[in-house]
Amino acid sequence: MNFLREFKYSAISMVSTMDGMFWTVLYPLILASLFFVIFSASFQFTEKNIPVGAAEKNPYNGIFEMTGILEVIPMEESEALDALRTKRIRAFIHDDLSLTLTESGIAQTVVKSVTDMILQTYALGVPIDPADFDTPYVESRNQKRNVEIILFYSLLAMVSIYSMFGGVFIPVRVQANISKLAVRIAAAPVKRFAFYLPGMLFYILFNLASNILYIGFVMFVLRIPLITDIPVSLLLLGYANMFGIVYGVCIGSVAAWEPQTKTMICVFSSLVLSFLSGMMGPGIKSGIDTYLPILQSINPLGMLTDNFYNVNVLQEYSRIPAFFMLYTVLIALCAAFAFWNSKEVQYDSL
Amino acid sequence: MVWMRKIFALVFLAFSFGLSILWFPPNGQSQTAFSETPLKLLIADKDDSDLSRQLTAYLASKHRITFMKETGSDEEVLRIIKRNISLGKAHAGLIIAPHLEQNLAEKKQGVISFKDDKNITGLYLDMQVQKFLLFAAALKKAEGTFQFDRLHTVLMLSSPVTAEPKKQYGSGIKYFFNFLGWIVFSVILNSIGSALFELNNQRIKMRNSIAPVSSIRFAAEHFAAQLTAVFFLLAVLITFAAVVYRNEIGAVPFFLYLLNTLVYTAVILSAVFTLNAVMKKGAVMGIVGSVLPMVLAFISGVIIEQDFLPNSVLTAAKGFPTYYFVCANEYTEITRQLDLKNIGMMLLFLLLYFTLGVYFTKLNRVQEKIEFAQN
Repeated sequence: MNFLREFKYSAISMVSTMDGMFWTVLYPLILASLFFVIFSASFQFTEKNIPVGAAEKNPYNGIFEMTGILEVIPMEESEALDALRTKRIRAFIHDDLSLTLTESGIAQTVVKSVTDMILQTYALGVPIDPADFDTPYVESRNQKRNVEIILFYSLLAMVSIYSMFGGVFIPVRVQANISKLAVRIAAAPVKRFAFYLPGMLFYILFNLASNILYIGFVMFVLRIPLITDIPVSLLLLGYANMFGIVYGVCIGSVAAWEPQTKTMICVFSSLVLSFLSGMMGPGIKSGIDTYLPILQSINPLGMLTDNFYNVNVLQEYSRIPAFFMLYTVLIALCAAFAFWNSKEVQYDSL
Repeated sequence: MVWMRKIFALVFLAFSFGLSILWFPPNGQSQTAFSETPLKLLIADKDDSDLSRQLTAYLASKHRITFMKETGSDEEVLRIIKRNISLGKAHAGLIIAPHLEQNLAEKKQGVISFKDDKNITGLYLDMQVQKFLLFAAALKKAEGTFQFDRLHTVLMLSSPVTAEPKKQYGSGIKYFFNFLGWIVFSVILNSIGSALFELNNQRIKMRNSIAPVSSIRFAAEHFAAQLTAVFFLLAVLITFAAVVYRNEIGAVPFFLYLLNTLVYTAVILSAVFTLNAVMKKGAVMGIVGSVLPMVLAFISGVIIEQDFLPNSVLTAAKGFPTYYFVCANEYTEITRQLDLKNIGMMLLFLLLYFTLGVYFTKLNRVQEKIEFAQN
């Protein structure tokens, strides 16, 4: 009965506060929507032909169009500079195949490779059968670049440890050197473990439910195929939630810190770790993977993001043991620290 | 501001500095010469013939290549290529199948290229491989041998390029000032806004009402305190920008950007005034303080340029001042002039927020008087 009562009170305290509901349930959905807004362009983006300027009577205009890469915008040389500066065209091709550009980039490089090819074909000095131009020596296979989805995995990793925000306040009710309520409970003939367990279980279940809501939102509303292997992903998510609650209890058990300070530590640690795991741009994650891989292997959110990506995009399972090893060590360390802080001591005031 | 807000403001500023350096690094020097952009390629040469080695040598002269010589099975090669392209670590992967020369003679496909079809880089790479093999086949047909020296000499030919010296200075600093639209909004709302919100506390109001200070003097000091805090925050941010982008300052209309920012900051102060008059709960203020600036930054073109945002999003963004701040910075970058139209729009928002703020403050006072009379 005690267990159910504590569970109920944990639920009431979470559901009745606007803060708890907003940050756990709504905030991830808002962030996911924002990510979608700015990256929807890249999800549906197909690079179009490169706009180039050329005189109407440029003898190579036919060849440019035939490449299927260039879109010729007829203009005089005098207009070219303005068009280049306003980015209406990426390059201006003169009648002798020389180019005028204002910047370097992949589009300009492609334009130059087309003009180079025309020059080189003439310079080769041997006849090429026109039919040979259509002979495909290269077999092309599509391999989707899927880097933007890391943002959504990273966000999921961040909110998967949001059970910590509930966990922070569990010691407040139990640990006698933190609050007056806890002093009274410490003096009462009840087992303290019975106070920890229901709260921890509730916050894990509540956060897990909000994580599933987030996944559903991303998959069915935003239509991004986030999860393809449901059982393994849920297993990872559940274990991350366990870490989140133990981490929260660990932070909450430090008597010297104010509740606001504890919440702030939770906020900033989750932000920084998710930032390093790619939530503010996949490039940062990629850079850390390349130059500082050790950091990613001890960053719990980086490890979780990697595993979500591996399991659901690449169908690779090789890093799952490393995930469980890291999380088990972290859970054990946090639990030991929380236990050390909350172990029974004789208070002078009691 | 109490110490928690000071710490928040400082940590947020430090975090924003870090982000802005990572996202918008200084441009360095102006561009005066054209250079081809190399692609990152993975190549597995399963043929290892003269022809395949010449092909990879040609590609190596253009791109950054990682050879997968030690990689064992085909499955492992495919796995690595797939992983690297998927994660954006490589633009494309090539597998040169065995018997390339024979395939070339029989006009069969001898090279498999993996890349994202959405990107033009893939087409570009295919075009280069195709060109090399086409030329090699033509030489072999005409001369009896591949004549690699001749082939490479031809492939070295390049169209002349005139790179007009377009100053690259300014983009980095423009993005920084756009980004400032987010930072300023967030810091002001979370620090000054929340501190002011606490003054709405009934107990503080009662203490103020019996204090020997006139309401006008209190309001004036109040406003001066806000201005001092904002001035300090802006000074820190602008000094930071001046140091990081010191190479660009001479070439950009720095003071015009500054003016845009000052107008925008005034609008935000006015918006904070309105929000304080409207909001009743501290929790809501906290949520609004975190979410509103971020949402506006996302939809107004701070994070990603307005050109890439859907029209529906931009239409929604037009209802808020951040959109016009970004537009004004854009205009300043291109024309090196002040964008009076968008600054005018920001001033209209200032007027609107101020009017709303005054209206709601008066409404609250009337409400308080009624409650006081009823009690």
